[in-house]
Amino acid sequence: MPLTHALVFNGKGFVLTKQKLSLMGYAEILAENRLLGEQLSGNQLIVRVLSNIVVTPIKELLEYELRRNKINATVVLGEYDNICQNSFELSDANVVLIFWDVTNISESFPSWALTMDDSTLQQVEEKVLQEMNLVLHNLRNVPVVLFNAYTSILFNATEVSENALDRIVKALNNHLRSLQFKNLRVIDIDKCIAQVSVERSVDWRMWHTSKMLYSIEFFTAYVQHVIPVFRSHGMAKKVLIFDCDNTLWKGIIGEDGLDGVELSKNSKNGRPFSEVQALALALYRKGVILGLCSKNEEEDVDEVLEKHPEMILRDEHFSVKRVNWDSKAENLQQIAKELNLGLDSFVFIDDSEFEASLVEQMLPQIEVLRVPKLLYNYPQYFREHMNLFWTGTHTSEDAVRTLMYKQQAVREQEEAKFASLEEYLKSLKLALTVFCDSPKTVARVAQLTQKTNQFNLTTKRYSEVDINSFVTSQNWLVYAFSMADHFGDFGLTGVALINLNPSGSEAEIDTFLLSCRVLGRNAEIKFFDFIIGQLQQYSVKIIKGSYIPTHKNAQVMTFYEARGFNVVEDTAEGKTYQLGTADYRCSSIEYIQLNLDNEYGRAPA
Amino acid sequence: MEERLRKLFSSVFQIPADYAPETVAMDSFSEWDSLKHLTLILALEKEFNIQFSEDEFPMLDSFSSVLSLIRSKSEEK
Repeated sequence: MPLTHALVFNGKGFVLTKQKLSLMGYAEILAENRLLGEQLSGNQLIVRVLSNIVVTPIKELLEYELRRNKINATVVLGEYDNICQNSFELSDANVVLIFWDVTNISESFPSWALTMDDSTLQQVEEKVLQEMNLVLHNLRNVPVVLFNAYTSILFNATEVSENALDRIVKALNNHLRSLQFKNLRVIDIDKCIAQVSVERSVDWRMWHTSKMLYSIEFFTAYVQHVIPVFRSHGMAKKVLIFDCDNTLWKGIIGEDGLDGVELSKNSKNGRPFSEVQALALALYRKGVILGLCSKNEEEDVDEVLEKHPEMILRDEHFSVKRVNWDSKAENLQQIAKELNLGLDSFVFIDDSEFEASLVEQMLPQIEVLRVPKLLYNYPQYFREHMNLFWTGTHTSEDAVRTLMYKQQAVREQEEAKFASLEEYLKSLKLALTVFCDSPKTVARVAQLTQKTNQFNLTTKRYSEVDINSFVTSQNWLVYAFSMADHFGDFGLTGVALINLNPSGSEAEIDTFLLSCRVLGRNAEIKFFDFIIGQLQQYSVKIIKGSYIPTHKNAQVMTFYEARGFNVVEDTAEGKTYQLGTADYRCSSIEYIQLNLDNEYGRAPA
Repeated sequence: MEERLRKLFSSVFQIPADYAPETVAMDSFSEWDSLKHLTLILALEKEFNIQFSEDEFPMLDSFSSVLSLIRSKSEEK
């Protein structure tokens, strides 16, 4: 779920976040808009609205939406049905917005139009065209003029054939679109009406009493539709950073391998990803800079980029890549430095709520997108956000830009790390539930030993029969944990298998692994602390561990060193470690709560 | 309800939250023009999830009359 509250913690303090218009009550928008107006300073953007209908709500809605996009805007409504008159006196406007609705071209026009003969209709059309020319001529020095296309859809949605109203609307629009004013942009409000529905776009009661035709819902959709035009003046997004697993392709490359990930347009699971890659390629061709930020082994991701036959995006399309196990917020900051672009021009997309929220909270300037849970919604969701990058025009220079950024990107920049990751982890309310020798965990524990490649110190594979025998054995301890945070439950995601010597004085950590779904939260340390604490209670004196390298588990190479263990042997086959139980230094992580499963409690022999 | 309404009036008419409600009426309060009246109606309908009929529009002419009307409409629901 996207955050809906107005205040979020960004690592340093609480800031006002981007609360969506559609989620707010009108009175709330009025109040928030006033607050934002008091906070913003600097250059004022003056938007003047000319209309032949009452459009009162657009003032506050547009102001709010612009102000929350950090544009210090003031929206000024013109007088009712005074488009031509007002157009003479708008020299201070930066943007003029025109609602010139056929509904009120003359009294009850949509109905009377159907009774008019061709020559009368022709006269109406001529009159409007003349006025339109006059108005746009008067506004020729205003930087941007947004002119809503005429529409008959409110009246004719159920009409089978084209009628007189349709025809005049079509003629007016043809003329409007043929005009050669550089500042003119025609807005197709049918798209806004389609989003809201005809029925809910209009309020006939308000039209009848106050000449206010459109509903708040319509204005909300309208404001969101035109906002890219305002952002395009220096505020359009320029960079799109992808996570990899389950964002660019279906599956986890580190677990599923090159043949296991899906991205074929001919497969059910792969198709949404293939489609999103095609859309991203279209953005790339318009000059949007693409990048990768993924927790993975770099060579795994490179292999997909180079070798996967169904990849649409290849290495050449990504100007920047940050494939490592560091915090994504940190990686994104480095990317911004490399590209020499502000974080506010970044969009980041990830399938993990954890990663998305982390970036959103630590770097609130970045627009964060989340891969929808229902994958068939992914392409449409992506399409709907492509307007973030809209710039109105694109030149060959844009396409060259990506190349330039690629050259500018200098790798391995050392950046000061920021200290607020812990603050973020605190906010997640992480909780582990620990199981020991629990029969109900056997199947999942066996599965995890078989599937887990990355955070796995020894990569020993065990069957359910094996694990079951450990559970019942006096010499083995089978620890597992499930994890939850305030977003939800991750299920059983960590395992430790401990082998005790016959006297119980020594313990060997045979297996220690974590599912990649829960990495980056320090759960492994909390879990490890707990296990050592238990072994201390059981009077174990010496703990042994080992690291057996594979081509997937480089990230845990120094796990035991970091826990303070001493290296006993270091060979090509791996490293072995040892530590006196009494010498272990507990990390005392307080922000992860640890509970025992209610069936917990069997002591070793 | 009275508190929510007080807050809403403060937002709509851009007045401090500690105003005296009895001073806010259409006739005596210059801020309350016909466009503000529209804004007030739209805000009330969203806030209290009610709908006014056009005959009720003119009855919404002071804090106290608004309060009694939304009270009776909320009870109807």
